[in-house]
Amino acid sequence: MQQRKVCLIGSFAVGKTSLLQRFVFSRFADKYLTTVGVKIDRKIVPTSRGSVSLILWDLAGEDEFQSLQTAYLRGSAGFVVVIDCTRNETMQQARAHLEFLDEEFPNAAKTIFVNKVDLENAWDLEQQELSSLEKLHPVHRTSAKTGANVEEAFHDLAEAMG
Amino acid sequence: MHDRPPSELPSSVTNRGHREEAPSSEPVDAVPLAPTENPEGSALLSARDARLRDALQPILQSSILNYFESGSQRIVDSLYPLIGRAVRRSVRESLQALAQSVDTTMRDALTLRRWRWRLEAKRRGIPLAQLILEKSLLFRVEEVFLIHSETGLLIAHAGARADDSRDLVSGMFTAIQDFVADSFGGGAGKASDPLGRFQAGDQDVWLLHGPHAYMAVVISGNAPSTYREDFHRVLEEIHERFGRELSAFEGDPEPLERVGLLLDDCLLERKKDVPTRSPWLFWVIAGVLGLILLGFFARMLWMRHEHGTVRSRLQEIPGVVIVEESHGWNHSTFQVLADPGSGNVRAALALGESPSRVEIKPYYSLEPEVMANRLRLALAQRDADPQDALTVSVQSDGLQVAGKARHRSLEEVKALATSLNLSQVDFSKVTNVDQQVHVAESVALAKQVVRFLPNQARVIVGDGEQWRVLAEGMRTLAANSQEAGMACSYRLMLTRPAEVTAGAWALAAERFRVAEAALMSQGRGDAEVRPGGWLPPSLRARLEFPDDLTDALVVIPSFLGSQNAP
Ligand SMILES: Nc1nc2c(ncn2[C@@H]2O[C@H](COP(=O)(O)OP(=O)(O)OP(=O)(O)O)[C@@H](O)[C@H]2O)c(=O)[nH]1
Ligand SMILES: [Mg+2]
Repeated sequence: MQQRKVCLIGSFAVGKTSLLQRFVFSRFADKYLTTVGVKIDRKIVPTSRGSVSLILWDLAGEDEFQSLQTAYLRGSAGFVVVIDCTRNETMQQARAHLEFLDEEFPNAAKTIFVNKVDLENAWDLEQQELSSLEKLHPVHRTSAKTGANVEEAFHDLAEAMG
Repeated sequence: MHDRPPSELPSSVTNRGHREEAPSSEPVDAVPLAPTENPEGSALLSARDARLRDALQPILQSSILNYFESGSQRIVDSLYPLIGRAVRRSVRESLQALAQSVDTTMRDALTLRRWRWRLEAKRRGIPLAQLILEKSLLFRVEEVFLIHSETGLLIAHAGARADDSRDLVSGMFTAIQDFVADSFGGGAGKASDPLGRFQAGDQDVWLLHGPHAYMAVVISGNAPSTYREDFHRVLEEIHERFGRELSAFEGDPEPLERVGLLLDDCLLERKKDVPTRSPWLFWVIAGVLGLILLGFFARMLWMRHEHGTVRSRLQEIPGVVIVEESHGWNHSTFQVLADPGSGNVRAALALGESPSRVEIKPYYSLEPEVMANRLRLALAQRDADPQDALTVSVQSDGLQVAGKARHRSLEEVKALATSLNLSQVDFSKVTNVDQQVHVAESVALAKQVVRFLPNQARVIVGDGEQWRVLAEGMRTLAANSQEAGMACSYRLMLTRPAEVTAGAWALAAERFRVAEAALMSQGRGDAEVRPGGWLPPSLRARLEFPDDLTDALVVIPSFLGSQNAP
């Protein structure tokens, strides 16, 4: 079976771990346990070219103490850049990440997950900024909590990785 | 692909380049290309050759260096199997040298196992010390992962582990190395010695790096690090055989499926050298069992031999018939029939310490020789009279007893023969000793005739005394024969007159009466006495009576066998 390495990156607490928990194990926890280092999961998804085994690397989010750990990124066929829709600054960081990725991994598939869409009331993203990102990369509005769009978003990525 | 920053090599190139920009500062011939030990030789070079060389040298140098610089990784990658082998050989050689020095110090030890190891070391062509090192460490290679260096994706796996966790473990192994390289190495992009080994729980994970893939070997226990070399060899072989597939790997392990077979070779294991105790016990038990078995067979053979000996001895004894026999490792039995004529079979067998048991039942054989023996033995066993001397022989029509015997003995022997189931025995050749004596006595008695006066019943003068002699002789003979167990009776006979007339008969009767009365009165004994008529000519001849003997009375004892005479 084909295998693909996929890295999830984004600021801290945007829901990277939650998205993988939802996608791989179909569960969700409100409790926030920050990821240290890297955590790897695996899920097989069907694509038009047959099943693909996604090896999902959940990286620790970026914060003031910890910048993006680029050492883990090599060999990735796809990147999921996660944005928390209730925190506009996470979109700023996402833009920076994407610029870095476009430079370092021009051939890798990249997709943006705008997460926590169940918290619509707290929406904080600047629409203009988001639109400009959408022009560069596919954007999926997901909720790890409700599960909305999670499956589809990953499937789109699997398809895009070719 | 790692793009390494320029190393020292280019800087030296720059230096050279610098030097080459000012060639005038140094004489051309001083360029150290020609063999320095041979300065005269360099002088032989023509000036043109030297110039050409000088012109080409910097160009060649820089282009070679440039080539290395631009494609260093590729060159290293393609040289990897070669370099690895060369390096390993030199390492192995130095290891062997070390091992050999250990080897000599241990050479004197002399145990059974060491000898075995010594043989194995010789067979494998490695120093004993290395083998001992290997043998004394116990380990097991639990799993082997071949992981794509770049992506951390699993290419192949050997060992027991669920499919999906293999992928995760492969990723984590890679992540760990990324982390180490990132945290302890010179930072991203800078080459550092890759992580070679780490521990996870009680398991050791050895990492062996190749240009495209690395191998993670999960080991429990203590594996001798000499095995690293073996794993490296496998990794090299994988790169050699699947180099193209590996460099093109993007997540599809299918073209690399057969790599797994090579990985299986790495699943080494060395269990506790069980021999320490159980083989010792095993050998003891096996030895004891073997001895028991050997003893068993030896005993079986010995028993068979004994049995055979007894059998052949039995077969040698006439009159013995083996009815049933059996033998095993612990017994040897015979059931035989033995004729009394076989004698003491047991004594003849001389069984002594022999384990054979012989059960003897008596029977009468019909074999003439055995029958003769039977009689001989019976004869030998009876208390014979000193005068008895009998022999038994086998004749065509039966047994024959010959010799001499007292009358009583003969009677006994005849009864004995009957009791021994011997019906056809010829005793005619046996001389009855008693009979012989009695016949002689009888003849003597018969010769004591008493003469009558012619035509009278009166005894002539002088013969009156004869009655006493006759009576005594009759008494003695009767007593003797009775003693010998023979019946004895007497006939009174008269010499036949020339003419047997009625008167002669009457006279004869008168004379018998006179004789009976006279003998009775003289005490002739109890034996029967009967008048027996005229003396037959045969008897008369036997007694050698003169022809002129007439009117004589003769006492004929029954031993003279004329009882039948009228
Ligand atoms: N309401 C809501 N909460 C979410 C959602 N996704 C994640 N959260 C919550 O957000 C918090 C952080 O989630 P994580 O998944 O741990 O975030 P992370 O990106 O892995 O954080 P780091 O590991 O620290 O980088 C947790 O308390 C989650 O419960 C979502 O879709 N909706
Ligand atoms: Mg996390």
